Formats: sequence, structure tokens, C-alpha cells
Amino acid sequence: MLRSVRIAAVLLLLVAGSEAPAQTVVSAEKRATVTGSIKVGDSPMPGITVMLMPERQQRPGPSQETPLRAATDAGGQYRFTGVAAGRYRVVPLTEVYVVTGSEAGPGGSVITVEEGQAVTQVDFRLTRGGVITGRITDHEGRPMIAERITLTLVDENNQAQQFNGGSRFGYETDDRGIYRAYGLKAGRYLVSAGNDRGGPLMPGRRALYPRTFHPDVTDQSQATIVEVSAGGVTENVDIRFGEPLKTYSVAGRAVDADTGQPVAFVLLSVGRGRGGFGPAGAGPGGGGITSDSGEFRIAGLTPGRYNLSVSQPPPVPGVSADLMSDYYSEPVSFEIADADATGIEVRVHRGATITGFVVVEGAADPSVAAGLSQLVVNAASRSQSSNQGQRGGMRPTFSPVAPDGSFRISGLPPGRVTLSLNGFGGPGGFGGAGSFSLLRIERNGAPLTGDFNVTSGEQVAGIRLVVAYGSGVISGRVNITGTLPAGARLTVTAKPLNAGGQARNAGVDARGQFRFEGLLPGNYEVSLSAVSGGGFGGRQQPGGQGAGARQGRGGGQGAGQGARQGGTPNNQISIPEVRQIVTVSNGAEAGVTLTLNLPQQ
Amino acid sequence: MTSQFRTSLVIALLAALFGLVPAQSPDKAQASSDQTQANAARIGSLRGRVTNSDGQPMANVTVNISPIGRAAGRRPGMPGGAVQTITDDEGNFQVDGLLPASYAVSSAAPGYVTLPPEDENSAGIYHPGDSVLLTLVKGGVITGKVMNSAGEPLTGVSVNAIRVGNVDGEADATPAAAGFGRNWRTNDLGLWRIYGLVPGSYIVQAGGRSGGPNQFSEFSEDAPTFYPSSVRDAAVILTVRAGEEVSGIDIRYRGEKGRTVSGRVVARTESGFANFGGIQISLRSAASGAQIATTMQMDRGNSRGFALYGIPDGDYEIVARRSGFNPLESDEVSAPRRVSVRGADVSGLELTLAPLATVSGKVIIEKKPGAPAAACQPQRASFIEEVLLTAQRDEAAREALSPDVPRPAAPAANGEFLLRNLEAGRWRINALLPGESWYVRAISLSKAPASAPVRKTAAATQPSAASVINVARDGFSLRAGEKLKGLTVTLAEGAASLKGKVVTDGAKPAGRIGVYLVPAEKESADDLLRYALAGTRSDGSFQFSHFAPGRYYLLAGTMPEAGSSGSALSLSALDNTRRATLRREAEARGIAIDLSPCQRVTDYQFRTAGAFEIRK
Repeated sequence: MLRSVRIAAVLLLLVAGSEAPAQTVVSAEKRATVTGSIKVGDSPMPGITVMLMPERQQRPGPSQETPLRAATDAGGQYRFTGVAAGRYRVVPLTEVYVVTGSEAGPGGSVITVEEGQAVTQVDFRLTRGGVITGRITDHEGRPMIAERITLTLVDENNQAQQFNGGSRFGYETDDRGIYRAYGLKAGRYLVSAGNDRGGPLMPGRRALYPRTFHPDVTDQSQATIVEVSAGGVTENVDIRFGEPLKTYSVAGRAVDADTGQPVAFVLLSVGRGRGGFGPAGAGPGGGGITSDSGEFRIAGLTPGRYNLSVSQPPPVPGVSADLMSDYYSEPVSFEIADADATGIEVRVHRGATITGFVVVEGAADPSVAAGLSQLVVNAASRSQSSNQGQRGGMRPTFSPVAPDGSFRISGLPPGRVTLSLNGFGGPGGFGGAGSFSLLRIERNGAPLTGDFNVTSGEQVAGIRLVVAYGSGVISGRVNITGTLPAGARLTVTAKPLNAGGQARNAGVDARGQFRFEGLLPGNYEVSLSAVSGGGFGGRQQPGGQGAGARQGRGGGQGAGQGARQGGTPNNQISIPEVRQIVTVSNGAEAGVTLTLNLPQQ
Repeated sequence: MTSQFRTSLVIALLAALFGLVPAQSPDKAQASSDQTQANAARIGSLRGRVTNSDGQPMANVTVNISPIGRAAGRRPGMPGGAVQTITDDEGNFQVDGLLPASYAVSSAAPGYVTLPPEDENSAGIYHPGDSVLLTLVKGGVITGKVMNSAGEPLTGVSVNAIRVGNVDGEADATPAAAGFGRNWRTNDLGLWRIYGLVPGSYIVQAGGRSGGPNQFSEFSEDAPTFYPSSVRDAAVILTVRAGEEVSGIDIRYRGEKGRTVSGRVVARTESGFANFGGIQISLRSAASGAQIATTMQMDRGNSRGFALYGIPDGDYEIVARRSGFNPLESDEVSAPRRVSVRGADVSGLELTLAPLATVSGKVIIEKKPGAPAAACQPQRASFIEEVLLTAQRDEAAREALSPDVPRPAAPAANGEFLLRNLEAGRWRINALLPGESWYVRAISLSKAPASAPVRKTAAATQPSAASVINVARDGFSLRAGEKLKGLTVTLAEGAASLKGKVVTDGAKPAGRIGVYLVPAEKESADDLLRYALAGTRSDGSFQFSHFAPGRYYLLAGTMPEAGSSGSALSLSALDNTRRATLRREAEARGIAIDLSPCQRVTDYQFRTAGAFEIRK
């Protein structure tokens, strides 16, 4: 679905961090200005509020700065003054209009501002959006209340397209079953509601309906396409649900594979198809956690093949440690046809544990050490018996780091384990101006590179993750002579030469500027590369529904300190090599200018 | 978007999701001890039915069953934790495998609300074995338009209905937040529609950031406009009944610039990932105590700055509160600070957090020697975990830092309990008991001399003499952040109960009548636990349960205040003078009843000439 929940979530997150005012004081002469205009068609648009939101590239979580606001004047001009250096997102706050223009998505335009710079012509063009309205009813003709609508923009071949605009809050029906989607880009839309994924009912949902398109079909190819014109209203786009999906439950118990005794309080996940994570936790009828007698029942499953296995909870502050399990299991496969699955036995094994400490190298600053408890240690394990397939062999397990730096990871299956470090609210995850970087991992004082082996039930102690705290900044610009291929995006990589930490990437904004924050002191090689692809929001996947929460299963997995790769490698564009060495020190900003000479087109 | 970006996004989203789930305990030890102690006899079921107001079954609706006051083992989806189920075609539901505990049971469907139980005495608390009747009705609707001064519709204005009382406009215990806490906003026509409202009195606000930190829009820094076009104090109050729609609530938006109140929260300790909660900053009207604005702040390192936007001119009190997930620690609060907003932003406020106090102790059950009388055989055994303890502030000292009532706590299977989040001051303990056979015989506090901190009080000079405090009579006092230990709540078996009806001779007294139970034995004159008050229903019926056998006088009196109905314990704060007056009056009227252990009187006719008025 292109009305992507993920984009909305990203926006919300960016703003969630906007509650606290800036603490930093920048002298007046270093303050920058940002100006631009807003037009509807060719006419200047007065009275539109524009927001300038700080965008922390390293930590997209909460930041300290307050978003600035400005309204356009009678000439459609807006102006921000007193802007501190940094990366920002400029967002026109309008829901009735569609923001058009090359890179202005629902997230607006990202700019980099240097000290004292006058950034001009951050312009936006608006078009009055169209409206789709209608009513959604259940199989008995009763209104569906609080039902979310999915809009999919399609091209002339009925292929899903990316689109921006409309309310970032999404659209849902009221108590009469009526919805009204507005601020829509002109075009052809599929309008649907319902859920075709199975899984437990959401709290309060009275029945599970298959995804149904206007007017009453579940087959997308049969859907009536809704035409929307700029500023036009398309009414009576109703959806009538057919029979609700029949759902079933799976029940059984978890037993210790060695002793045959029931095992209480383990989290079981139902996965569908290729190892996807299914409903974890509380579903109707008891949820996926075994009772004190080892029993479980998970309801709300539609017919299909499933796997059931012990899973570790994603790292959720204050919650997940409670559900961390000392156990693992091989997946148990079962099928739901037209009845509940009962008597499923999940044989669980006591897993290996890894204990150790995260330590800050060389730093005695207690305020830095206090930030350790914001970190999470991840263990990605590759099971020896991963030919059990289904789960892809990789299994993330994590431990929050205690204030004294200690951590404990349990329930690991035997196999190869890779440790990494992550943080709450983003890598580093520390509320200050800097961030933590992982320097090295030691086992009993000896360096540990790559993965290592754990045997069945092994107690691995004496692991040290050595981190350093960096607050250096590289701020730079790219001067381009010649013409970039259409659709190309530039990415800058900062690779530490004699500094700790991993290489990082930063996008180059439309004005040729980029910025790295939270770097460890030392020398970096700064280089340029180019990829093809859209801007912000270009990764929306057609057909993905209810994104946000579902992706939650990924939790703290994978993305360690080394995973800061930008675009996918297969869309690399060849450009001339541009490299430069930059020296970074803590608390200071290093400037750099890269020059890219391209042939004229 | 890098994969890391996504990871942190996911974490934050999950944090947001799990914010809706009751706090969890990391106490594994408790879990395993629960596990070993569990046996079939302890496990029970709750069954019940959900109907609409006409008694028709509500099929396919969610029923939430969550334990109250459990410090440990509150995990969703497992025995001892909150569970959800769905009603069948007949509106029936059943949840098995429940550990002994007090449970809150509610039903939910979008746009519908659960009506409070008719039986005041159940207070909406259920124990395994009980059957539960819930009424789920269509919530009320308020709808209208938001326009600017030129009459043009405004899009994207957040609109919020704030509940200010019941349908008669009286304050009640239902929370002020309305309609799922949804993000209600005007559409492209300026129209808004808020549904699923609990019946009550409401004021409606447009603009401002009432709905939460993420509700930014071009209007979110404005001072809110209240229906029809006023400040909060002049807002028109709307009455909303179940299933009814109040329409045409058009708001002329004032678009007045609000001020920003900002500052910093100072915390002495870091809260780690595992205990991550958040810090809530609330701004309340100094005059009415009504919450004006609130924001939730990340509790991380240096990022404890806060800002509240869209604040109109006025006098306020601001408080920060940090809530964690650790069930053994109290929240931390800041001392309330006075803030005056007069046409300019207020910045640089510093709110320093200090922990609230805790009280821990044990509930013990006194066993009578010998076999219990046949009348004392309960239909179903009660468990100590089904007791709920609440701390209540001494009436005399109502200088509360925050209006939040401390939550009840349930003892563990071994009787140990912990009451959290108590402010400094004088407190009393109330116990809400399951079943019928228990009553509270004593509440005392023994100060262990070894662990007691050295204090320069008169008591400290005579440690042995003052080592046991009769909490039932005198209450106990707490210092800020104190971790008081040694409270003992003694329960005894053989409680009596009394159901009856007030029959008034002559004119019916004005106002609601309550019935007092006053111990008749001279030696019990000071035993506050033997005094009780019950409200009467419209038909004059009343009931007492969980009280000690013995001889009692009955006395009809006007109810002291709304809200103290039905509770046999609301007299706990009676001072000596008032108690003596009550006793004298009751003695003078001389209507007495003798109750033997486990006696259940069900049809008592209480003839009284008039109602005694107890003055404060």
C-alpha cells in the first residue's frame, strides 16, 4: 500500500523528538536563514505554515531542538531566521493541498545549513487535493467503525505507484462507517479495507475481514478504480465486506526436550510461510506465552501453514526483559484447514548464555558512562541445524545493558554467534550531542573478530564490548561541475583511518550539503558515491499493509554498528573517484568540500 | 533509509505500542515461585456475558481481564497477566487458568463503551469463580465544525472532548480522556466527529496539543478555543448520553497565540533500558486543578528538556513525574511549581525529581483454633492474593502533590505486599477483601529498632515503648521518599454480613441516607475497624460485609459526601471527637443487633425516625 504507514510513523517520530527546546546557544552572527516560497499553481499562497524540523542523521530518534515555524506572507514567501547549523527537514503543513515538485514528499525537503549561511529558494508548489468519500459496512450491512482505509494509486496499467500527499494521520471510518480521504493527488486509486494476513484480531475488532476493494471484491483485479481530479470530490466509494474470515486457534504445550517437563513463561511465535514472524504476545484467548503449566493457545489464525517456535521478544524498554527466555526450540510446523490445531508439542532446549560487560575506553566521565544503560547488545546466531529451514537460520537475541555495563544474553541455540551493539532511539542512542561507537570485542582479554561458536547450553562469560564516545562533526558540501544522471543520489562515506568505529554514510541534500555527527576523534577518509533511486519515501513497497507494528518483529536484529549502508548495492552509478582526508576532534566541527567533475550533457 | 534507522524506528514504535500494556515485571524469581506454588486448586475461571442495554447479547466483542495491584507476574496473555478473549454468538465468554487475584473486567468494541456495574459493592472487581455481567452500549457522539473568524472551515485542527463529570454534571471517578484517546481532527470541510464517548458532561476544545506530543499541526501552538468560542473557564458544558448524538457544535476558532512553558527536568539517577518509562510533565490550573497541558518526555541522558505549547495566560502549577517499569520502585515526582503566564513564554523552569515513598509489610490470616462452624464453610476458598490494599490519605491533610490516587496493591501468596507512590504525609490503609469470610482485625506497624533510621524525635528516646503503632486507629506518617517497612494487616475468619432496608417513620430525610454500624461493646469504642458506613440505594436497601462478629448499634445518617458510598471503610479517618459523637447518638437511639461468627443476615428491617447528621 502506498499510503504508507511507515512514512507516517517516520514523521511522527521526527516530531516526537521535538518537544524540548534547544539548549545550545549559538552566537547571533553564526545564525543562518532559510527562505522560500509556496505557490498554488502559479499564484503565491499566503498563510501556509512551514515547519523547519531538525533532522539528526545519526539518531533519528528524539532530539533536543524545537522545530521552528513560519507562515507564508501575502507574497507566498516564508523566512526562518536564527537557524543553527545542522540538517533540517522543511515541511509545509497542509493537508488539503498536495505538495508537488521534485523532492518534496510528505516529509518535505531535507536541507543542510551551515553556520551563518543564507539558504534560499526552498520552494514548494501546491495543488488542491482531491477527495474520496464513502461508507464501509460489514457482511450484515452494519457500519464498520474505526476501520482504516488503504488507498493505492495506480498507473494506466493498474500498477501501484508511489504517491505523496493527504493526511499523514491516515483515514478511517467514523461510527457511521463513513470515511473521507482528502488532500489526494489527482489520479486513479484502488480503495480497500480489511486484512488478508490472518493473525490475531486487533483489540476491539469484532471480526477479521479479508482485504476488500471497492465496491465488494477481494480480487484486486476486479476492483473498481476510483478517479480523482485535482480539487474534485468522488463520492459513494463504498466497500461492502463479505463473510468474515473464519479463524482458528492453535493450542498445545511447551516441554523441556531433555526432561519432558512442561516449561512455563516462554514466548511462542507463530510464523507464516517463509519464517515470517507471526503474532507474538497477547492474542485473543490467551496469547503466545505458555502458562504456568506450559500450555499455550493462540487464536485468530486463518487457514494456512504455520511454524511455531520459541522466540525472543524484540527489545522494548521495560517490557521485553521480562519475556527473555533461557530456551530455544526448533520450529514446529502445523496446518490449519477447517479446525483448531490442538495438542501441538513444542520441545524446547535450554540455550547457551553469553555474559559480559560494555566498557567505555579511556573515558572516566560519569555522564558518558551513564549512557551505557541506553544500549542493547544483540546476538545474531546461526543455528547449526538451520537446514530446518523456515526461519532462515538467523535468530536475534538481545540484552539491555545495565547501568554498570553488564549484559546477559540467554536462550541461544548452538551455532555461530555474532555480537553487535545498538541503542534505543538509534545507534549510540545517547541523549547527548555524541554517540557510542563499538571499537572491538574481546573474550577473556583476547580480541574477537567476526562470529564465534557456542555449544549446546554453554555459559560464555568474560565478553567485553569496548566502546568509545564521540562527538565530532564533519560538515561539508559537494561542488558539482557538469550534470548528474537523472535520478542519481549522492552519498558520502566517512571511513575511519586511525579512529575507531565503522564507516558511515550520509546522504547529500539537494543543495549539495552533508553532515556527520557523533564521530570519534581521528582521521577519516571522506569519499563520494552515487546511487539511482528516489528520495525520501522511495522505498515504499506496494501491497505492504499495516507496516509499522508488523515490522516490529525485526526489533534490534541485524543492524549493528557496521550496518550503516545506504542504498542497495545493485543500483550503484559510476562516478569519478572523489576522496579527501579529514581530521575530526571531539566537540568540534570539521569542514570539507568535495568537488565532483562530471561530463556536461 | 538505513537499516539502523528502521531498527530505531521499530523500537520506538514498539515502545509506543507497549505503552498501552500494563507495566511488566522483570521479576523472574517471582514467576518461578508462582509456578511451583501453583496447583490445580488455585487456578480458577471467570465467566460472564456481555449484553447491550436491552439485554441483547453482544457477540464477537473483546473482553479484557487484567489483574489489579499485582507487583509481579503481570504478563499479558498468561495466568497472572492481562488476558483478552472474545465473546461467542450468545455474548458469553470464559477465561480459564487464572491465578488468584483481583481482576478488572471490561469489554470493548470500536464506538462502544462499557457501563459501570450496577452493583456498587462489586466496584468492578472480580475474583476467579465470579460471574461477570457487562453492559456494552454505543457511546455518545459530539459533532460539529471548526471555522475561522471569517467563517471559513479549518482543516487539521485537533478537537478534543474533555469529560468534566457525569450526566448530572457531578464529578466522578471516570477519567477525563474520552473516546479511545484517538486523534480527533477536522477534515477538509472543517468537520469533526467524536464518538464512543462515555456518558457524561463534556467541554470541547479545538487547537492546542491536547492529544499528545505527536499532534503537531499549524494550530498546535495556538491557545485552545473552547466551544462555542471561549477560554476554558467560559466553555459551554454539553451533556452526552449513551447512543445519543450532540450535533451542531460549531466552534469559532480564536487562533490566539499560546505561550510556551519550557524548562528541564533534573533527575538524580539514570533509568536504564530495562526500566525505561518516561517523564510526564503536567500543567494544571492553579484554581481548578484541571489539567491544561501535558507532555511525555524521553527519560534519557541530557534530553530531559521539556516544552508545553499553546498555553493561554493564567496561573498554573507544573509537576513532573517519572514512571518506570520496576514494580519495586516508586515513581519520582517534582514539587509542584507555580507558573504564571502573562503574555510571554516562560522558560528555564527546573523541576527536580524526588522519589515517592513506599510502605511494605505483610497480610496475615489469623486461624481460629478448632474446626470452623458449619456456617463458616465458604462456597469457594479465598486467597490472600485476592486482597487489595490501598493507602488513603488522612482526610485532614489533603495537600496532595498530585491528584493521582495511589494504585492498590495485592499481596503475594506469602502475604507480602508493597504500596508505592506515596507522598509524604499521614496515611491510612484500607483493605478490600474477597469472598465473605474475612474481616480486618488489626492494622499495625512495628518499627524494627535495628533497621529504623536514627531520628531526632521523642519516640527515638524510648524505642521499645513506641515500637508498635495502631495504624487502624492512628494512621501512620511517611517522610518524603521513605521506604517504610513492617506494616501488618491481620485478617480474621468468621466475618458477619448484614443486608437490609431502611424503613423511615414519617418524613423521608432529604439527601442520601447512609447506615452506620457502631460497636456496642465498651471495650471496642476505639476500634475503628468495627465502625462502618454503607450507603442506601433508592429503595432504601443497604449491605455490610466483612465485619467482625459482635454487638452493633445501627444509626441512619446523611452520607458525608458523594463517592464514599458503599464502602464499609470510609469511616477509617474518623477522629476521636466525631467517633464519640457518633457513638453517643447511636447509643441514645439504642437500635442494636447481635451477630455471631459467619452470620449472614439478609432481610433486616431497620426502622429509624430520622437521619443523624455527622459534621466535619
